[in-house]
Amino acid sequence: MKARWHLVLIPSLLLSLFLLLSSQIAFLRGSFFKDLRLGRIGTELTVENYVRFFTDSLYLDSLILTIRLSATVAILTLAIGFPVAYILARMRSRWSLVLLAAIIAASFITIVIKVLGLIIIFSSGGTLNRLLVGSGLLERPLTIMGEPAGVVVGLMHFTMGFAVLLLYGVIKTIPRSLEEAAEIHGAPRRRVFLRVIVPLSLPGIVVTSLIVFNLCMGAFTSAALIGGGKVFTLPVLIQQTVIMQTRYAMGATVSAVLMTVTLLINALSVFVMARFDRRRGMVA
Amino acid sequence: MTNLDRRQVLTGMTATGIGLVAAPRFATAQQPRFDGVTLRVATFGGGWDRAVHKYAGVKLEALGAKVEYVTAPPRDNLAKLIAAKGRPAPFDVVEMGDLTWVDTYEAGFLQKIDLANVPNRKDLLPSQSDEWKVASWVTQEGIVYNAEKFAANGIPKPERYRDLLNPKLAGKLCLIDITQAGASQLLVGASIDEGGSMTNIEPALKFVKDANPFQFWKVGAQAVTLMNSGDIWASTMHAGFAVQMRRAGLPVAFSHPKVGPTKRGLLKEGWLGVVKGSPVPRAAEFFINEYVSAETQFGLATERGVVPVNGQARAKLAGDPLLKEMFLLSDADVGNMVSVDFNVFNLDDATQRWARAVSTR
Repeated sequence: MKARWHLVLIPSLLLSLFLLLSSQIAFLRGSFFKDLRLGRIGTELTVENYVRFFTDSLYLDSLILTIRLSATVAILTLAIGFPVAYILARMRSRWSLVLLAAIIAASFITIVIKVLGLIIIFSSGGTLNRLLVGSGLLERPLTIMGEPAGVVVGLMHFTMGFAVLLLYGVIKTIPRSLEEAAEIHGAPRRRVFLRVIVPLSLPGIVVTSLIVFNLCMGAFTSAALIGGGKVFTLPVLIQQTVIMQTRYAMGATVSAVLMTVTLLINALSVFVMARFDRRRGMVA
Repeated sequence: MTNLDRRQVLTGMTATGIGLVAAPRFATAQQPRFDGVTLRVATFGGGWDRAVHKYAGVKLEALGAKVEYVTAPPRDNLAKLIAAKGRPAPFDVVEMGDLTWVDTYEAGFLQKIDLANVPNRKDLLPSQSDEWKVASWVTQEGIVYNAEKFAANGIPKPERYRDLLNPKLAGKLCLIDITQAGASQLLVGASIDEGGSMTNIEPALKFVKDANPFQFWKVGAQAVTLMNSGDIWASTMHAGFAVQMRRAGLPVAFSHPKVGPTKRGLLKEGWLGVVKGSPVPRAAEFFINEYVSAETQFGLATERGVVPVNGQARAKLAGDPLLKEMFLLSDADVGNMVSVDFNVFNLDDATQRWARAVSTR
């Protein structure tokens, strides 16, 4: 009799759904009422908050900015993290474990400390600017604080460790013999990379990108600290709406839109990936 | 001179002895004891909590209580009260900014203070205490600037907010963030000075946008660090920060900006209240009384650079040359400063318009 291993997934799925729904339903419900200030909400159901979100450029621009920054971080993190993960996975030296341990340890450092480190490095009198100005490469100090570029750097610093760890695990599962076989048959390294390594690690690349993307969509600290009050991503707007203005219903609406958009982007990516996989299977 | 016999002398000595032994005990008996009581105080972080404890908290702890501090800006503490509605209060004493006080009161989070337990309010102005709140400090909002950098770069002393638009200050300026209490004073001051008002803040938003600051600071220490590193040469802050920076050796000066044709400088007030449902109101009132005492007020002024609400402490301050330089202390000067009327100024609306004005895309 064939073992039905997929049944093992059901308890964890139910638990995840319970935790997600129980915490979000009350919040979502609140988004359909009117704000009466000071944390109080009305009693009549309304979609006024959603209409406002999708007709007000403040919220729409913030949504677009959040998606754009998160996508940029996902792409750049992948571009930098994949080679690192590949080299670590293929290293025969014992140093690979040391380097991997260093990456894991770095992932444990709280984001606030990481961001403060970046602020020190990128300040006018910081290490980087002193080096660049001192060497004559720059006339005056360059700063990315208070700019979307700075927030991208902060988010990459936050997510890089996770990305490398995830990709390391994926690449480790690809037998080295496949690369060697391709090389024996005359494929140059670039072709081996593009035709063997990338296709085989594609599911892992997609999952890693989505995890990084999701982390960035909800990230508050980097945008708040490095953004210098000028980069209004949705999490920053949520914090202002809930804490500053105590407009819980509007805060819930912005959160609901953020969650829905993130889920839709994830679902779409998985759908495209599944179709791509099916087509590749048919071609093979 | 009356001659005393031996019995009278002995009686007198015995009575004096009993008096000497009993007097301190009697005096102590007048002080309430707070053994086993824990008082939770919501106040500012960044060292303010430690300074408050050093002067006021220790007095309560000397009587057996334990004082714990919940540190956050006033709006965050109001959000905690809202979130805890229907459940026990998360703290007993709350320190509020002038706007937060209005919201905290209107939302019904405060309980009446028994003013008989706050005798030190005799040194406060009558308007600075009532049964719902007691004033805790005053700050004077304006412009802190690095006098050496200004002089070296030929930048004149800023007299008005618009002077910060000097091209030589491009990238060297910080402004207070809208999430911070002093932002209302900046918006109102810059608006009135440019022909607007507390209801028409468009000129101030244009000023904020044109200034394009290096950062909007969310914690005072952030601007202090940037000033220290040389990243910025000026910031809108309260005069207390200028005092702290000068004491730390930074060559800063403070300007009380002119507001319109006659006014100069902007005031911000802090208030203390007892949270509704506090199980320890007597300890809360004792703490508030110590907070507004001349000793605490003078200590907070010299250490943290706020202007005391206690008249005795204010009079004593005039003897400190640095504080005299940074603060406007005379009644005439204080009377000529601008206070924000939060029944007129709409911070919710200002917050949203601010985000539209300064957002980087």
